[in-house]
Amino acid sequence: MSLLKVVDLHTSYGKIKALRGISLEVNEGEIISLIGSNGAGKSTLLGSITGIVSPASGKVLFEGKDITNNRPNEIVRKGISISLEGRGILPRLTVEENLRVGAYSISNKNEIKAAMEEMYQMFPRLAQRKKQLAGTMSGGEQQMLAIARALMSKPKLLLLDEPSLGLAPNLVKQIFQMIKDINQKGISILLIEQNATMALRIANRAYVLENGIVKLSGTTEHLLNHSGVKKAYLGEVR
Amino acid sequence: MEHFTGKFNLEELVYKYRYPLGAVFLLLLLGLPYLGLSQYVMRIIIMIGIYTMLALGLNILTGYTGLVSLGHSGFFAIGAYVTAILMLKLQIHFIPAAFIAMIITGICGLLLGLPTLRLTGTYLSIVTLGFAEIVKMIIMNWEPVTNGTLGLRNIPRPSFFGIDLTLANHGMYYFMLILLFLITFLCIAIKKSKLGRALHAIKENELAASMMGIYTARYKILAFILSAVITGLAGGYYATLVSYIDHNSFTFDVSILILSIVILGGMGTIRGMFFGSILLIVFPEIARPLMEWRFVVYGLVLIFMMRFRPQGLLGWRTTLPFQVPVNAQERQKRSGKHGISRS
Repeated sequence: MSLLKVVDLHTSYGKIKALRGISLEVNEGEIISLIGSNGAGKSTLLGSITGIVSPASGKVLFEGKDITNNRPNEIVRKGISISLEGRGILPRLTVEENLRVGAYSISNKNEIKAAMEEMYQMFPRLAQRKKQLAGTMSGGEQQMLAIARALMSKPKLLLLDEPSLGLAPNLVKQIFQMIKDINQKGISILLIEQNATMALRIANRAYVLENGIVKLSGTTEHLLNHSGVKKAYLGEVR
Repeated sequence: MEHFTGKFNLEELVYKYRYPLGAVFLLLLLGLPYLGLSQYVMRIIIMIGIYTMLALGLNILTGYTGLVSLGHSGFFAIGAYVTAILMLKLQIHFIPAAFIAMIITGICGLLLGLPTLRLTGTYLSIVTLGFAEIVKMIIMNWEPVTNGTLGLRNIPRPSFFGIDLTLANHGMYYFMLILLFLITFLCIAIKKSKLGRALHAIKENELAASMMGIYTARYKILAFILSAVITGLAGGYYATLVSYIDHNSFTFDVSILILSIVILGGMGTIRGMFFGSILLIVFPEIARPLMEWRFVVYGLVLIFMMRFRPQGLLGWRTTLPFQVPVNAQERQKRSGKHGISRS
Protein backbone atom coordinates (compact mmCIF):
# COMPACT_ATOMS: atom_id res chain seq x y z
CA MET A 1 0.00 0.00 0.00
CA SER A 2 1.32 3.39 -0.77
CA LEU A 3 2.13 5.46 2.28
CA LEU A 4 2.81 8.75 0.58
CA LYS A 5 1.49 9.70 -2.79
CA VAL A 6 2.28 12.92 -4.57
CA VAL A 7 0.06 13.67 -7.55
CA ASP A 8 0.96 16.24 -10.20
CA LEU A 9 2.41 18.77 -7.78
CA HIS A 10 3.15 22.30 -8.99
CA THR A 11 4.93 24.81 -6.76
CA SER A 12 6.27 28.19 -7.68
CA TYR A 13 8.12 31.01 -5.96
CA GLY A 14 6.52 34.03 -7.54
CA LYS A 15 7.08 33.66 -11.25
CA ILE A 16 9.70 30.99 -10.94
CA LYS A 17 8.24 27.52 -11.29
CA ALA A 18 10.19 25.20 -9.03
CA LEU A 19 8.02 22.10 -9.44
CA ARG A 20 6.21 21.48 -12.70
CA GLY A 21 4.02 18.48 -12.13
CA ILE A 22 5.72 15.95 -9.90
CA SER A 23 4.16 12.60 -9.13
CA LEU A 24 5.75 10.02 -6.92
CA GLU A 25 4.90 7.32 -4.49
CA VAL A 26 6.49 5.89 -1.34
CA ASN A 27 5.28 2.46 -0.30
CA GLU A 28 5.36 1.14 3.22
CA GLY A 29 8.79 -0.10 4.28
CA GLU A 30 10.61 1.35 1.30
CA ILE A 31 13.65 3.59 1.00
CA ILE A 32 13.12 5.99 -1.88
CA SER A 33 15.91 8.21 -3.13
CA LEU A 34 15.42 11.51 -4.88
CA ILE A 35 18.46 12.58 -6.81
CA GLY A 36 19.08 15.60 -8.95
CA SER A 37 21.44 18.49 -9.38
CA ASN A 38 21.23 21.87 -7.67
CA GLY A 39 17.99 23.65 -8.38
CA ALA A 40 16.20 20.54 -9.58
CA GLY A 41 13.46 21.09 -7.01
CA LYS A 42 14.35 18.45 -4.44
CA SER A 43 14.11 20.64 -1.37
CA THR A 44 11.03 22.43 -2.71
CA LEU A 45 9.35 19.05 -3.05
CA LEU A 46 10.09 18.22 0.60
CA GLY A 47 8.90 21.69 1.57
CA SER A 48 5.65 21.17 -0.33
CA ILE A 49 5.04 17.80 1.31
CA THR A 50 5.66 19.14 4.81
CA GLY A 51 3.69 22.34 4.43
CA ILE A 52 6.55 24.85 4.55
CA VAL A 53 5.71 26.09 1.06
CA SER A 54 2.21 25.79 -0.30
CA PRO A 55 1.86 24.17 -3.72
CA ALA A 56 -0.05 25.92 -6.48
CA SER A 57 -1.83 22.78 -7.58
CA GLY A 58 -1.66 19.03 -7.16
CA LYS A 59 -2.20 16.75 -4.23
CA VAL A 60 -0.24 15.16 -1.41
CA LEU A 61 -1.84 12.05 0.03
CA PHE A 62 -0.61 10.35 3.21
CA GLU A 63 -2.15 7.00 4.08
CA GLY A 64 -4.87 7.78 1.58
CA LYS A 65 -5.79 11.11 3.22
CA ASP A 66 -5.31 14.48 1.58
CA ILE A 67 -2.70 16.48 3.49
CA THR A 68 -2.06 19.19 0.88
CA ASN A 69 -1.64 22.61 2.51
CA ASN A 70 -1.71 21.24 6.04
CA ARG A 71 0.43 23.20 8.47
CA PRO A 72 3.81 21.70 9.44
CA ASN A 73 2.68 21.01 13.01
CA GLU A 74 -0.31 19.01 11.76
CA ILE A 75 1.88 17.03 9.37
CA VAL A 76 4.20 15.98 12.20
CA ARG A 77 1.27 14.68 14.21
CA LYS A 78 0.11 12.62 11.24
CA GLY A 79 3.39 10.72 11.17
CA ILE A 80 5.76 12.48 8.79
CA SER A 81 9.00 13.74 10.22
CA ILE A 82 11.78 15.65 8.51
CA SER A 83 15.46 16.10 9.16
CA LEU A 84 16.37 19.39 7.56
CA GLU A 85 19.17 20.22 5.22
CA GLY A 86 22.15 21.60 7.10
CA ARG A 87 20.93 19.63 10.11
CA GLY A 88 18.77 22.33 11.70
CA ILE A 89 19.69 21.37 15.23
CA LEU A 90 19.29 23.87 18.05
CA PRO A 91 22.90 24.73 18.87
CA ARG A 92 22.35 26.33 22.25
CA LEU A 93 20.23 23.57 23.69
CA THR A 94 21.74 20.38 25.06
CA VAL A 95 21.45 17.10 23.22
CA GLU A 96 18.75 15.94 25.61
CA GLU A 97 16.76 19.15 25.22
CA ASN A 98 17.02 18.85 21.45
CA LEU A 99 15.50 15.39 21.65
CA ARG A 100 12.77 16.64 23.97
CA VAL A 101 11.85 19.33 21.48
CA GLY A 102 11.75 16.62 18.83
CA ALA A 103 9.16 14.77 20.91
CA TYR A 104 7.06 17.90 21.05
CA SER A 105 4.02 16.31 19.45
CA ILE A 106 3.96 13.52 22.06
CA SER A 107 2.42 14.45 25.40
CA ASN A 108 2.84 11.16 27.26
CA LYS A 109 5.93 11.49 29.46
CA ASN A 110 6.69 7.77 29.63
CA GLU A 111 6.48 7.52 25.88
CA ILE A 112 9.00 10.35 25.52
CA LYS A 113 11.31 8.66 28.00
CA ALA A 114 11.09 5.36 26.15
CA ALA A 115 11.70 7.04 22.82
CA MET A 116 14.71 8.84 24.24
CA GLU A 117 16.15 5.60 25.63
CA GLU A 118 15.67 4.01 22.23
CA MET A 119 17.58 6.85 20.57
CA TYR A 120 20.42 6.53 23.07
CA GLN A 121 20.58 2.81 22.34
CA MET A 122 20.68 3.51 18.65
CA PHE A 123 23.15 6.36 18.89
CA PRO A 124 25.41 5.68 21.90
CA ARG A 125 27.47 8.69 20.95
CA LEU A 126 24.52 10.91 21.81
CA ALA A 127 24.05 9.19 25.16
CA GLN A 128 27.59 10.22 26.06
CA ARG A 129 26.84 13.79 25.16
CA LYS A 130 23.41 14.18 26.77
CA LYS A 131 24.28 17.37 28.62
CA GLN A 132 26.53 18.86 25.97
CA LEU A 133 25.38 21.80 23.90
CA ALA A 134 24.43 20.51 20.49
CA GLY A 135 26.35 23.27 18.69
CA THR A 136 29.65 22.12 20.18
CA MET A 137 29.48 18.62 18.68
CA SER A 138 31.17 17.46 15.51
CA GLY A 139 29.35 17.50 12.18
CA GLY A 140 28.68 13.78 12.22
CA GLU A 141 27.31 13.90 15.74
CA GLN A 142 25.07 16.81 14.84
CA GLN A 143 23.71 14.87 11.88
CA MET A 144 23.02 11.89 14.15
CA LEU A 145 21.22 14.21 16.53
CA ALA A 146 19.16 15.66 13.69
CA ILE A 147 18.07 12.18 12.62
CA ALA A 148 17.43 11.06 16.20
CA ARG A 149 15.38 14.17 16.83
CA ALA A 150 13.28 13.54 13.74
CA LEU A 151 12.64 10.00 14.99
CA MET A 152 11.47 11.21 18.41
CA SER A 153 8.01 12.01 17.08
CA LYS A 154 7.57 8.32 16.10
CA PRO A 155 7.08 8.92 12.38
CA LYS A 156 5.85 6.41 9.86
CA LEU A 157 7.70 8.27 7.14
CA LEU A 158 11.05 9.96 7.61
CA LEU A 159 12.14 12.64 5.15
CA LEU A 160 15.88 13.21 5.03
CA ASP A 161 17.24 16.27 3.27
CA GLU A 162 20.90 15.78 2.36
CA PRO A 163 22.05 13.87 5.42
CA SER A 164 25.56 13.48 4.01
CA LEU A 165 26.05 17.21 3.44
CA GLY A 166 29.49 18.33 4.55
CA LEU A 167 30.52 15.07 6.16
CA ALA A 168 33.76 13.12 5.71
CA PRO A 169 33.43 10.01 3.49
CA ASN A 170 33.70 7.50 6.35
CA LEU A 171 30.98 9.38 8.24
CA VAL A 172 28.80 9.34 5.15
CA LYS A 173 29.05 5.55 5.13
CA GLN A 174 28.04 5.37 8.78
CA ILE A 175 25.10 7.69 8.28
CA PHE A 176 23.85 5.57 5.38
CA GLN A 177 24.20 2.43 7.49
CA MET A 178 22.03 4.12 10.13
CA ILE A 179 19.42 4.99 7.54
CA LYS A 180 19.26 1.32 6.58
CA ASP A 181 18.90 0.30 10.23
CA ILE A 182 16.11 2.81 10.77
CA ASN A 183 14.34 1.44 7.73
CA GLN A 184 14.62 -2.07 9.13
CA LYS A 185 12.56 -0.91 12.12
CA GLY A 186 9.66 -0.36 9.74
CA ILE A 187 10.01 3.34 9.02
CA SER A 188 9.72 4.30 5.38
CA ILE A 189 12.29 6.77 4.15
CA LEU A 190 12.31 9.42 1.47
CA LEU A 191 15.93 10.41 0.98
CA ILE A 192 17.17 13.46 -0.86
CA GLU A 193 20.80 13.25 -1.84
CA GLN A 194 23.44 14.82 -4.00
CA ASN A 195 25.63 11.81 -3.37
CA ALA A 196 23.88 9.76 -6.05
CA THR A 197 26.02 6.64 -5.82
CA MET A 198 25.34 6.11 -2.13
CA ALA A 199 21.70 7.10 -2.45
CA LEU A 200 21.08 4.61 -5.23
CA ARG A 201 22.90 1.86 -3.41
CA ILE A 202 20.69 1.83 -0.32
CA ALA A 203 17.32 2.64 -1.92
CA ASN A 204 14.67 0.32 -3.32
CA ARG A 205 13.58 2.74 -5.96
CA ALA A 206 14.65 6.19 -7.02
CA TYR A 207 13.42 9.26 -8.84
CA VAL A 208 15.67 11.55 -10.82
CA LEU A 209 14.54 15.17 -10.72
CA GLU A 210 15.52 17.73 -13.31
CA ASN A 211 14.17 21.27 -13.61
CA GLY A 212 11.11 20.50 -11.56
CA ILE A 213 9.96 17.35 -13.29
CA VAL A 214 10.63 13.66 -12.77
CA LYS A 215 13.04 12.80 -15.55
CA LEU A 216 13.50 9.16 -14.72
CA SER A 217 12.27 6.70 -12.18
CA GLY A 218 12.53 3.04 -11.44
CA THR A 219 14.32 0.43 -9.41
CA THR A 220 17.82 1.31 -8.37
CA GLU A 221 19.39 -1.56 -10.35
CA HIS A 222 17.81 -0.13 -13.43
CA LEU A 223 19.00 3.40 -12.69
CA LEU A 224 22.51 2.37 -11.70
CA ASN A 225 22.91 0.83 -15.15
CA HIS A 226 21.18 3.61 -17.02
CA SER A 227 23.68 5.32 -19.28
CA GLY A 228 22.27 8.81 -18.81
CA VAL A 229 22.29 8.53 -15.03
CA LYS A 230 25.79 7.15 -15.12
CA LYS A 231 27.01 10.05 -17.17
CA ALA A 232 25.20 12.81 -15.30
CA TYR A 233 25.27 11.69 -11.67
CA LEU A 234 27.62 8.79 -11.11
CA GLY A 235 30.61 10.30 -12.82
CA GLU A 236 31.51 7.43 -15.10
CA VAL A 237 34.29 8.18 -17.52
CA ARG A 238 34.16 6.58 -20.91
CA MET B 1 31.66 33.14 21.56
CA GLU B 2 34.29 34.55 23.80
CA HIS B 3 34.64 33.25 27.28
CA PHE B 4 35.83 35.21 30.22
CA THR B 5 39.36 34.06 30.88
CA GLY B 6 40.47 36.34 33.67
CA LYS B 7 42.14 35.25 36.86
CA PHE B 8 38.90 34.09 38.38
CA ASN B 9 36.05 32.49 36.55
CA LEU B 10 32.79 34.24 37.36
CA GLU B 11 30.66 31.45 35.97
CA GLU B 12 32.27 28.72 38.01
CA LEU B 13 32.28 30.89 41.11
CA VAL B 14 28.60 31.76 40.94
CA TYR B 15 27.62 28.21 40.05
CA LYS B 16 29.65 26.71 42.87
CA TYR B 17 28.15 28.96 45.52
CA ARG B 18 24.70 29.32 44.02
CA TYR B 19 22.79 28.10 47.10
CA PRO B 20 24.62 30.20 49.72
CA LEU B 21 24.57 33.17 47.35
CA GLY B 22 20.85 32.77 46.78
CA ALA B 23 20.16 32.44 50.51
CA VAL B 24 22.23 35.53 51.34
CA PHE B 25 20.47 37.49 48.62
CA LEU B 26 17.06 36.42 49.90
CA LEU B 27 17.87 37.26 53.54
CA LEU B 28 19.28 40.59 52.45
CA LEU B 29 16.08 41.39 50.56
CA LEU B 30 13.88 40.46 53.52
CA GLY B 31 15.96 42.35 56.08
CA LEU B 32 16.72 45.40 53.97
CA PRO B 33 14.25 47.78 55.66
CA TYR B 34 15.86 47.13 59.05
CA LEU B 35 19.29 48.27 57.98
CA GLY B 36 18.31 51.86 58.63
CA LEU B 37 18.49 52.99 55.02
CA SER B 38 17.05 56.37 54.12
CA GLN B 39 13.76 56.66 52.24
CA TYR B 40 15.70 57.87 49.23
CA VAL B 41 17.73 54.64 49.14
CA MET B 42 14.63 52.51 49.73
CA ARG B 43 12.93 54.23 46.84
CA ILE B 44 15.85 53.42 44.54
CA ILE B 45 15.72 49.81 45.71
CA ILE B 46 12.01 49.66 44.92
CA MET B 47 12.74 51.11 41.48
CA ILE B 48 15.28 48.32 41.01
CA GLY B 49 12.52 45.87 41.86
CA ILE B 50 10.15 47.42 39.32
CA TYR B 51 12.77 47.34 36.59
CA THR B 52 13.58 43.73 37.46
CA MET B 53 9.91 42.89 36.89
CA LEU B 54 9.95 44.80 33.60
CA ALA B 55 13.15 43.05 32.53
CA LEU B 56 11.71 39.65 33.45
CA GLY B 57 8.70 40.50 31.31
CA LEU B 58 10.75 41.55 28.30
CA ASN B 59 13.05 38.57 28.87
CA ILE B 60 10.23 36.18 27.94
CA LEU B 61 10.00 37.86 24.56
CA THR B 62 13.62 38.81 23.90
CA GLY B 63 15.56 36.31 25.99
CA TYR B 64 13.46 33.18 25.52
CA THR B 65 11.88 33.70 22.11
CA GLY B 66 14.43 35.98 20.47
CA LEU B 67 12.02 38.76 19.51
CA VAL B 68 13.46 42.19 20.28
CA SER B 69 10.86 44.71 21.40
CA LEU B 70 11.57 48.42 21.67
CA GLY B 71 8.03 49.17 22.72
CA HIS B 72 7.70 47.82 26.22
CA SER B 73 7.19 51.30 27.63
CA GLY B 74 3.82 51.04 25.83
CA PHE B 75 2.73 48.02 27.86
CA PHE B 76 4.19 49.64 30.97
CA ALA B 77 2.10 52.75 30.31
CA ILE B 78 -1.09 50.80 29.62
CA GLY B 79 -0.69 48.83 32.85
CA ALA B 80 -0.04 51.99 34.85
CA TYR B 81 -2.85 54.03 33.31
CA VAL B 82 -5.51 51.30 33.49
CA THR B 83 -4.70 50.61 37.13
CA ALA B 84 -4.63 54.31 38.00
CA ILE B 85 -7.86 55.14 36.18
CA LEU B 86 -9.72 52.23 37.77
CA MET B 87 -8.49 53.16 41.24
CA LEU B 88 -9.20 56.88 40.83
CA LYS B 89 -12.47 56.93 38.94
CA LEU B 90 -14.13 53.70 40.07
CA GLN B 91 -12.57 53.64 43.53
CA ILE B 92 -11.73 49.96 43.32
CA HIS B 93 -8.97 48.21 45.21
CA PHE B 94 -5.49 47.79 43.76
CA ILE B 95 -5.68 44.00 43.31
CA PRO B 96 -8.74 43.87 41.00
CA ALA B 97 -7.56 47.05 39.26
CA ALA B 98 -4.14 45.54 38.55
CA PHE B 99 -5.81 42.30 37.48
CA ILE B 100 -7.97 44.11 34.91
CA ALA B 101 -4.88 46.06 33.80
CA MET B 102 -3.07 42.78 33.23
CA ILE B 103 -5.93 41.46 31.11
CA ILE B 104 -6.00 44.64 29.04
CA THR B 105 -2.22 44.69 28.50
CA GLY B 106 -2.48 41.00 27.57
CA ILE B 107 -5.05 41.87 24.91
CA CYS B 108 -2.76 44.65 23.66
CA GLY B 109 0.07 42.09 23.54
CA LEU B 110 -2.16 39.87 21.41
CA LEU B 111 -3.05 42.78 19.14
CA LEU B 112 0.61 43.67 18.69
CA GLY B 113 1.65 40.05 18.29
CA LEU B 114 -0.86 39.17 15.55
CA PRO B 115 0.25 41.58 12.81
CA THR B 116 3.96 41.12 13.60
CA LEU B 117 4.01 37.32 13.29
CA ARG B 118 6.07 37.37 10.14
CA LEU B 119 8.46 40.04 11.34
CA THR B 120 11.75 39.45 13.05
CA GLY B 121 14.82 41.47 13.95
CA THR B 122 14.92 45.12 13.03
CA TYR B 123 11.49 45.17 11.40
CA LEU B 124 9.80 43.87 14.52
CA SER B 125 11.70 46.39 16.66
CA ILE B 126 10.46 49.26 14.52
CA VAL B 127 6.83 48.12 14.72
CA THR B 128 7.02 47.76 18.50
CA LEU B 129 8.64 51.19 18.68
CA GLY B 130 5.69 52.55 16.74
CA PHE B 131 3.30 50.82 19.11
CA ALA B 132 4.82 52.59 22.12
CA GLU B 133 4.56 55.94 20.34
CA ILE B 134 0.90 55.28 19.51
CA VAL B 135 0.19 54.50 23.14
CA LYS B 136 1.89 57.71 24.16
CA MET B 137 -0.13 59.73 21.63
CA ILE B 138 -3.37 58.19 22.87
CA ILE B 139 -2.46 59.07 26.45
CA MET B 140 -1.69 62.67 25.48
CA ASN B 141 -4.86 63.18 23.44
CA TRP B 142 -7.60 61.14 25.12
CA GLU B 143 -8.20 63.85 27.70
CA PRO B 144 -11.53 62.77 29.23
CA VAL B 145 -9.98 59.50 30.34
CA THR B 146 -6.25 60.05 30.70
CA ASN B 147 -6.36 63.75 31.61
CA GLY B 148 -4.08 64.45 28.66
CA THR B 149 -0.68 65.97 29.21
CA LEU B 150 -1.55 67.00 32.76
CA GLY B 151 -1.31 63.39 33.89
CA LEU B 152 -3.09 61.60 36.70
CA ARG B 153 -2.55 62.81 40.26
CA ASN B 154 -3.17 61.40 43.73
CA ILE B 155 -3.24 57.78 42.76
CA PRO B 156 -3.98 55.97 46.03
CA ARG B 157 -1.65 53.41 47.55
CA PRO B 158 -2.96 49.88 47.95
CA SER B 159 -4.23 49.00 51.40
CA PHE B 160 -4.69 45.63 53.03
CA PHE B 161 -6.90 44.98 56.08
CA GLY B 162 -7.21 48.69 56.71
CA ILE B 163 -3.47 49.32 56.64
CA ASP B 164 -2.26 51.66 53.94
CA LEU B 165 0.98 50.53 52.41
CA THR B 166 3.52 53.34 52.41
CA LEU B 167 7.21 53.82 51.99
CA ALA B 168 7.56 54.71 55.65
CA ASN B 169 6.05 51.50 57.01
CA HIS B 170 7.87 49.49 54.33
CA GLY B 171 4.58 48.07 53.11
CA MET B 172 5.31 49.14 49.54
CA TYR B 173 8.69 47.45 49.71
CA TYR B 174 7.35 44.09 50.87
CA PHE B 175 4.48 44.31 48.43
CA MET B 176 7.05 44.82 45.66
CA LEU B 177 8.98 41.78 46.93
CA ILE B 178 5.85 39.60 46.81
CA LEU B 179 5.04 40.66 43.25
CA LEU B 180 8.66 40.19 42.23
CA PHE B 181 8.79 36.67 43.69
CA LEU B 182 5.54 35.70 41.98
CA ILE B 183 6.83 36.94 38.62
CA THR B 184 10.22 35.28 39.14
CA PHE B 185 8.62 31.94 39.91
CA LEU B 186 6.37 32.28 36.89
CA CYS B 187 9.43 32.94 34.71
CA ILE B 188 11.31 29.95 36.16
CA ALA B 189 8.26 27.74 35.61
CA ILE B 190 7.92 28.91 32.00
CA LYS B 191 11.61 28.37 31.34
CA LYS B 192 11.59 24.81 32.62
CA SER B 193 8.36 23.78 30.97
CA LYS B 194 7.55 22.42 27.55
CA LEU B 195 6.49 25.95 26.65
CA GLY B 196 9.95 27.26 27.51
CA ARG B 197 11.62 24.66 25.32
CA ALA B 198 9.27 25.48 22.46
CA LEU B 199 10.10 29.20 22.76
CA HIS B 200 13.80 28.42 22.85
CA ALA B 201 13.48 26.21 19.78
CA ILE B 202 11.77 29.09 17.95
CA LYS B 203 14.59 31.41 18.95
CA GLU B 204 17.28 29.06 17.71
CA ASN B 205 15.71 27.87 14.48
CA GLU B 206 12.12 28.69 13.67
CA LEU B 207 11.92 26.42 10.64
CA ALA B 208 13.29 23.45 12.54
CA ALA B 209 10.91 24.19 15.40
CA SER B 210 7.90 24.13 13.10
CA MET B 211 9.14 20.89 11.58
CA MET B 212 9.03 19.28 15.01
CA GLY B 213 5.36 19.99 15.38
CA ILE B 214 5.54 23.31 17.20
CA TYR B 215 2.86 25.72 15.99
CA THR B 216 5.28 28.64 15.99
CA ALA B 217 2.74 31.39 15.36
CA ARG B 218 0.71 30.46 18.43
CA TYR B 219 3.77 30.39 20.68
CA LYS B 220 5.11 33.70 19.47
CA ILE B 221 1.78 35.32 20.28
CA LEU B 222 1.72 33.59 23.65
CA ALA B 223 5.19 35.01 24.38
CA PHE B 224 3.91 38.48 23.47
CA ILE B 225 0.91 38.11 25.77
CA LEU B 226 2.89 36.78 28.75
CA SER B 227 5.49 39.48 28.33
CA ALA B 228 2.84 42.19 28.13
CA VAL B 229 0.94 40.91 31.16
CA ILE B 230 4.03 40.96 33.39
CA THR B 231 4.97 44.42 32.14
CA GLY B 232 1.41 45.61 32.78
CA LEU B 233 1.53 44.41 36.39
CA ALA B 234 4.79 46.25 36.92
CA GLY B 235 3.11 49.34 35.45
CA GLY B 236 0.21 49.06 37.88
CA TYR B 237 2.55 48.85 40.82
CA TYR B 238 4.60 51.78 39.51
CA ALA B 239 1.48 53.95 39.28
CA THR B 240 0.57 53.41 42.94
CA LEU B 241 4.15 53.87 44.05
CA VAL B 242 4.77 57.26 42.45
CA SER B 243 1.08 58.32 42.73
CA TYR B 244 1.52 60.67 39.76
CA ILE B 245 1.88 59.55 36.16
CA ASP B 246 1.90 61.38 32.86
CA HIS B 247 3.05 60.60 29.33
CA ASN B 248 6.63 61.55 30.19
CA SER B 249 6.93 58.64 32.59
CA PHE B 250 6.80 56.22 29.66
CA THR B 251 9.20 57.48 27.04
CA PHE B 252 11.40 55.62 24.58
CA ASP B 253 14.23 55.84 27.15
CA VAL B 254 12.27 53.48 29.38
CA SER B 255 12.02 50.87 26.60
CA ILE B 256 15.74 51.19 25.95
CA LEU B 257 16.55 50.93 29.64
CA ILE B 258 14.53 47.71 29.96
CA LEU B 259 16.21 46.24 26.90
CA SER B 260 19.64 47.29 28.18
CA ILE B 261 18.98 45.50 31.46
CA VAL B 262 18.00 42.33 29.62
CA ILE B 263 21.09 42.45 27.41
CA LEU B 264 23.52 43.56 30.11
CA GLY B 265 22.29 41.02 32.64
CA GLY B 266 22.31 38.15 30.18
CA MET B 267 19.45 37.35 27.83
CA GLY B 268 17.38 34.35 28.80
CA THR B 269 18.71 34.15 32.36
CA ILE B 270 16.74 35.12 35.45
CA ARG B 271 19.61 36.04 37.78
CA GLY B 272 20.84 38.40 35.07
CA MET B 273 17.66 40.47 35.24
CA PHE B 274 18.22 41.17 38.93
CA PHE B 275 21.86 41.99 38.44
CA GLY B 276 21.32 44.10 35.34
CA SER B 277 18.65 46.26 36.93
CA ILE B 278 20.75 46.78 40.08
CA LEU B 279 23.61 48.04 37.90
CA LEU B 280 21.62 50.22 35.54
CA ILE B 281 19.39 51.82 38.17
CA VAL B 282 22.13 52.39 40.74
CA PHE B 283 24.67 53.66 38.24
CA PRO B 284 22.96 56.98 37.38
CA GLU B 285 22.44 57.64 41.10
CA ILE B 286 26.02 57.10 42.22
CA ALA B 287 27.33 58.81 39.12
CA ARG B 288 25.53 62.06 39.91
CA PRO B 289 28.84 63.87 40.66
CA LEU B 290 29.90 63.16 37.09
CA MET B 291 27.01 65.37 35.92
CA GLU B 292 26.31 65.07 32.21
CA TRP B 293 29.48 63.03 31.75
CA ARG B 294 27.68 60.06 33.24
CA PHE B 295 25.99 59.29 29.94
CA VAL B 296 29.39 59.11 28.29
CA VAL B 297 30.52 56.65 30.94
CA TYR B 298 27.25 54.77 30.53
CA GLY B 299 27.84 54.44 26.80
CA LEU B 300 31.42 53.32 27.33
CA VAL B 301 30.26 50.63 29.75
CA LEU B 302 27.88 49.27 27.11
CA ILE B 303 30.61 49.30 24.43
CA PHE B 304 33.04 47.45 26.69
CA MET B 305 30.31 44.95 27.47
CA MET B 306 29.80 44.20 23.80
CA ARG B 307 33.52 43.69 23.31
CA PHE B 308 34.39 41.63 26.37
CA ARG B 309 31.24 39.98 27.55
CA PRO B 310 28.66 39.80 24.77
CA GLN B 311 26.68 37.09 26.56
CA GLY B 312 25.86 39.50 29.39
CA LEU B 313 27.37 39.85 32.83
CA LEU B 314 25.64 36.85 34.33
CA GLY B 315 24.69 35.12 31.11
CA TRP B 316 26.47 32.02 29.96
CA ARG B 317 25.66 29.01 27.97
CA THR B 318 25.26 26.30 30.53
CA THR B 319 25.95 25.91 34.19
CA LEU B 320 26.42 22.19 33.99
CA PRO B 321 29.94 20.88 33.62
CA PHE B 322 30.16 18.29 30.87
CA GLN B 323 30.71 14.73 32.02
CA VAL B 324 30.69 11.47 30.19
CA PRO B 325 28.19 9.20 31.96
CA VAL B 326 29.81 5.90 32.87
CA ASN B 327 27.00 3.65 31.67
CA ALA B 328 26.96 5.37 28.29
CA GLN B 329 30.63 4.54 27.78
CA GLU B 330 30.01 0.90 28.63
CA ARG B 331 27.00 0.74 26.39
CA GLN B 332 29.03 2.02 23.52
CA LYS B 333 31.75 -0.53 24.13
CA ARG B 334 29.18 -3.29 24.06
CA SER B 335 27.39 -2.29 20.90
CA GLY B 336 30.30 -0.58 19.18
CA LYS B 337 28.03 0.35 16.32
CA HIS B 338 27.28 3.87 15.13
CA GLY B 339 29.85 5.44 17.39
CA ILE B 340 31.73 8.02 15.43
CA SER B 341 35.27 8.43 16.59
CA ARG B 342 36.99 11.71 16.19
CA SER B 343 40.31 10.22 15.16
